[in-house]
Formats: sequence, structure tokens, C-alpha cells
Amino acid sequence: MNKRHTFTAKAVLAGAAMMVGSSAVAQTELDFWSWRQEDVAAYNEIIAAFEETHPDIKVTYTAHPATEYNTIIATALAAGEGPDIIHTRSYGGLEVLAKPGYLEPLDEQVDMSLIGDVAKIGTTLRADGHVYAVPFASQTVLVFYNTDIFAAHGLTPPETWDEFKAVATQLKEAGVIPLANGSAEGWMLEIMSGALLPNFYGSEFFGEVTSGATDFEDPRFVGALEKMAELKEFMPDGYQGVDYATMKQLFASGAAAMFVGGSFEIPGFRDAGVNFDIIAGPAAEAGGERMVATWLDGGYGVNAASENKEAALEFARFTASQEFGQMLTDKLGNISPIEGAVSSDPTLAKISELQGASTPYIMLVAYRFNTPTGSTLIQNGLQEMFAGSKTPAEVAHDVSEGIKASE
Amino acid sequence: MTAMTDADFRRAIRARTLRRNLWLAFLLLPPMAVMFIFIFLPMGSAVLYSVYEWDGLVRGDFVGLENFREVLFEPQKSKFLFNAFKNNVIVFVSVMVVQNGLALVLAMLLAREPKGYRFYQVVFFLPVILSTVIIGFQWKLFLNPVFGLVNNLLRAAGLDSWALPWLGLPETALPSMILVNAWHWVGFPTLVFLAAIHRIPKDYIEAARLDGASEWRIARDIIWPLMAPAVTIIVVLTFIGAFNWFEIPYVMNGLEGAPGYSTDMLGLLFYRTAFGSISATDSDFGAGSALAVLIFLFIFTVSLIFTRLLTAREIELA
Repeated sequence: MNKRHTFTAKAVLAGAAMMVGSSAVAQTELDFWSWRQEDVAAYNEIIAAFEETHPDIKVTYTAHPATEYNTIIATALAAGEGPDIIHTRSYGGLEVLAKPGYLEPLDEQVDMSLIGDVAKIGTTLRADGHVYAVPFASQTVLVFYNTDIFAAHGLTPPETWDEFKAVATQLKEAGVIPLANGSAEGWMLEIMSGALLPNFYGSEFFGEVTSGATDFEDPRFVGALEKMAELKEFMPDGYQGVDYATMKQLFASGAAAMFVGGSFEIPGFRDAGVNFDIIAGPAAEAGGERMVATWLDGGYGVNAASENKEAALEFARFTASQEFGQMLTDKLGNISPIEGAVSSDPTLAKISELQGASTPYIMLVAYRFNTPTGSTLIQNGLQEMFAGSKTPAEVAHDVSEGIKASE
Repeated sequence: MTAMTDADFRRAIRARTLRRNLWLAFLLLPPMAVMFIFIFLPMGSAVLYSVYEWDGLVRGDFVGLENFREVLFEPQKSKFLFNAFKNNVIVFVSVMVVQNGLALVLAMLLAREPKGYRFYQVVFFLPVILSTVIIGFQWKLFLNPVFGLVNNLLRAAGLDSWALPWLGLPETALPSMILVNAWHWVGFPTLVFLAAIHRIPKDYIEAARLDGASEWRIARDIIWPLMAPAVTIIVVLTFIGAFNWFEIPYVMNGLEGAPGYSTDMLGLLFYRTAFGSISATDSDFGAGSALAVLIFLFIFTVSLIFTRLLTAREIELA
């Protein structure tokens, strides 16, 4: 039915075009697939804005279940089908699509000058160095703190490691759990490491370890792990068995004063009605670096086999514009990697500001491509460190050996 | 009416045989088709997948036994396989001792029909009908270190030092899960053993009793040998169940066998290798299929050996 309607519309348009001459063109229809089912309404508004300036292009947004999306898109592309515009995952998840040649290289066809290099790592294929998708939103690892509890105990948000421990000690003495985080789930330990390790190992480490100039047994990395292990005493009793749901519950209920988590937690904590603010992980010492670890959630790619490639590229160009970044921020509450897209929401605006000093979320960004992945290694290692069965130096050794073996 | 000739008779027989065979084929084909599509085809494709290289979901070149070599002999990968295998062995042995041992005791007690034994029979069997996922979640909550029932009870009883993060420590996580599994399943072997005991003719036991045999002697020399077929079934089922163990560890401690792979199982390893896990790895169909084939071959062979060995010691009841 729909098809017939569009066909009729096309025929009418084509007829009109012939009559009027060359002023009107038949509409190009683009399919756009995503896993963001919760964002359908917002994407339709964003698409409407695009169609206003591009009356000859019509974009249809289809959202698939998030957990099956990778399989759905890979199967469709392998069968030579699939949409014109593809919402892609990042890093290893992008490589799966870009490596077999399903995606159009975009760096020479789309102006991405408003997007920073750290974000672009997420959609660059390591094998050829081309960018295969326009980066769309980033996540940031933060320290959340309960503003009511801090006010009640006359505390100010800690800026250095010593202050962080002093605040935590004071809270503990007052009977409040200082830190909601537990070690039962490896991925949450990796998140925690993203907030705490970088300010100890420093901004140079990422470049040096990924280029092979050093490895994970580097004293800077081992030292950072040692610092992280000092937090055991500030975590809940029986923290080894505290899982993700319990951590969030402890923070949201006000039983714990601080929580290390990703920026994706913000809507949940808002719904729970807890008053909170965010800070970057503490600096190693006064005046030291205060970076936040960030990673890219995904990007917008173009199907290399699309019959409407030019129109799809036009849409990709739109997703790299400041106008699009602003809409993504306003309508979806996402942190856009596009320069100048600033949120009116104070928390999101603060995250954008913190991202001014950012470092890649190391294992996801650089070591999610081979088996065993860096994430597997660090998650398991940290779990062993927090369970007391391995020392920081042993963990660093295991991570280093695992990564060497995977390459 | 003329009498039926031999030829007519043979024709009639042939027609009947044909009808019968057609009828049999008609009845057998659908289940065979279902078995072919849902059992043999996936098994065949797993074998096929395991000899190719995979780039995510895209099949690459034929690589022969390369995937098998990787999962078996590359230290960084094989250590996961051997660790998971070791854990499965621990699970099998513990379930045999704890769960089936308890079931045997319960069955022997119930067989003597104490007062209210029908009630106990139902109570012991009740958890078996619950969904494993529900039981996993329920016990995960009970064992929660912050607000879980188990630790609250221990603290109330003054045993504060016993209030451990059960699922978070490498030493206690797996034993906790095995006990949860026993809580869930103990009713099943109990029922099978009980049925087997009931099958033993009462006169054997009464005769022994008249001869002055002790209860222990009766249990050891009469009941135990005569319930051998039930034991065979339970041992083989326990073996298959232990090596396919997935739901409880997955629900309670996740795909990575936390903490530190102390609850990793072959099933979890296969799953995250083949399909990936959102928080740590991408999928590798080749290695995953190789693991699936290895696990299948192992379970199949050992089950066969078990069945052979155990059937040999069964005594047929007259």
C-alpha cells in the first residue's frame, strides 16, 4: 500500500517535473537503521529538520532491538541488503562492518573538521586509517557525589587524591558508605579504573602504550593500580559481592555518598530523585592533571552498496554539522563530539567542559579488537586485585602478557 | 463367492504391508524432519563453521583445524578452556556427592514411609518445577552482601564474621552456586531413587530382616545393588547437566564467570566466545563453534562410557 502511494507520488512528481521542465526532481528515499528505540521521536524531529533543507530527500528511521542490532545489520549487509544510512557501533564493533567493505569511507567526502580526533578514533578503521562513520555521541566516566550528604557533613568535592581519601574517611566515620562501587561485576571495575587510573598514569601513557613504546608493566600503570586498590576500605562491606544494581541502589538511596560511573547513569539518578553533582576523577596531587576518560558510542555510516549514495552522503554531511550536534544534545541529552554543540542542561554542559581534558577509555578504545580483549584482561585482573588474590604488579603483568599474546 | 487363491492372498498381504509401511512413514517423517532441522542441521553447521575463519558474522576462508588448535593449544585461549573444564569437573563431583548423596539419603528415609512422608515428597520436589532463572535471581538476592537474607540471618545469630560476600569471593562463589543448584534439583534424584526402591519386591527386604540383617546391611547389600538402573540414569544425567551447566552461573555471576573466572563454565566460555559480550568481547564464530564441537564430543563420549560401565553392573530383577 505504502509502496503504491510512493510510486504514485513519484509518478506525479515525475510528470510534474517533465511539465515544468527541470526545476522539480523526484524524491530520493533513504533508509536509516539504528538500535536507539528510545530515540525514535527525537530522530524523526531531527530528520524533519534535514528534509526541510533537502526537499528532494526523504529519510525513514527504523530502530531495531539493541541487543540484536549487531546481528541484524551484519546479516543484512552480508546478504547485500541493508539500509542506506547505518547507525554504527564504534571501535571493534565498527571494524566488523568496515573491514569487509560494507561501509563507504567518509573522510574525503564529508567535512568532519568540527569533530575532534579522539572521537574519530572510534570510527576509523585501523587497517587503512580511513574514517567510516561520523562520530555521534560520547560517554564519559565521572565521579558522582550526593550533594545533600556533602552539605550535611560540610564537605567540598575533592580535587586531589589526598582530599578524596580525607573526604571518604570523614564520611566513613560518620557512618555513611563513602563509595557505592563494588567489585562483583568486572565491567564496572573497568569503568572505575577509567575515572581513577588516568590521572596517575598521565596523558602521555595512552600514546606510548598503544605505539609499543612501553607496556602495561610500566611503573606508571602499576602505580595507578596501587592507588586504586587503596579504595577497598571505602567501599561497602562485602564489596566483592556488590553487583551493579546494588551499587546504583546504594547511591540513589543516599546510603552511599559517591559513585564512580558512566555519564549514561544520569537519567536513572534523576528519575530516582537523588540530588547529585559530578566531578572528574581526583588529581594525583595538587595542580596535577585532571582528565576524564571518554569513549565514542557509535557513528553514522553510509552503505557502500547503497543505490542512493549521494543522498546518503548528504545526510552524513548533515550529521557532521553544528546544527545537528546541537539538536542531538538538546533533544537526546547526548554529549555530541561536535565542536560548539553546548547543552543548556547544566550537568551535560559540565560534562562537555570536563571533556576539555579527556583521555581515551583505554581498553575499549585501543584493545577491543583481538582475543583476549584488553577489557577482558583488565576486568578480570581488577577483580582479582579487589578479591585480594593478586597484587597490582601481578595484574599489570597479566594484562601486559595477555595483550602481547592477542596481537 | 469363490475361495481366495494363493495369489490373491499374497497380493492382499503385500497391500497390507505397503499400507502399514506408508502409515509408519507418515508418522515417522514429521518428527524426523523436526529432528533433522533442529538437531542434526545445527550440529552439522557447527562442525562446518568450526573449520572456517570468521570476521564477525561474515564467513572467511577455510582454515581446517586452525580454530581447534587455537582454543586447545594457544596458552592465552586454552587457559580459559582448561579452567572452565576444571570447574565443570568440580561441579560434577560436588553435585554427585552433595546433591545425589543427599537425594539417596532422603529417598531411603522416605521409602520407610515415616509419618507425613507424602508431604515431604512434595516439598522436596517443589523447587524442581521452578524456573532456573527465577531461582538464580532469588538466591542472588538472598546472598547479597548488603541487604541479603543469608547475611542478615547470620548477623542476627551473632555470626558477623560469617557474613561473607558469598558470590564475590573466588573461594565461596562456586560452592554457593553448587548449593543453590542442589536446593533446586535435589527433589529429582530423590524421586527417581524412591521409585527404584519401591520397585524392589518387599519380600527380599523382609526375608533379610527375618535373617537378622541390620538396616545398614539391607541398604548396602539389597537396596543399593537393586536400584542400580536408577543410579545409572542419575549419574549420566548429572554428568550431562554438570558439563552443560549454564543458567545458574550466568544469572548469578554473569558471562565472565566472575570473580576472576572462578565460576567460569564451558557453556559460558562457548557463549561469550561465539556471540561476544557487550562489555568485553566481540564475537568469534569459528572459535566458538570449535568449542561447541569439542564440548559435544566430550559429553557424548563420556556419557557413552558411563552408560556402558554402569549398565554392566546392573542386576535384572526377576
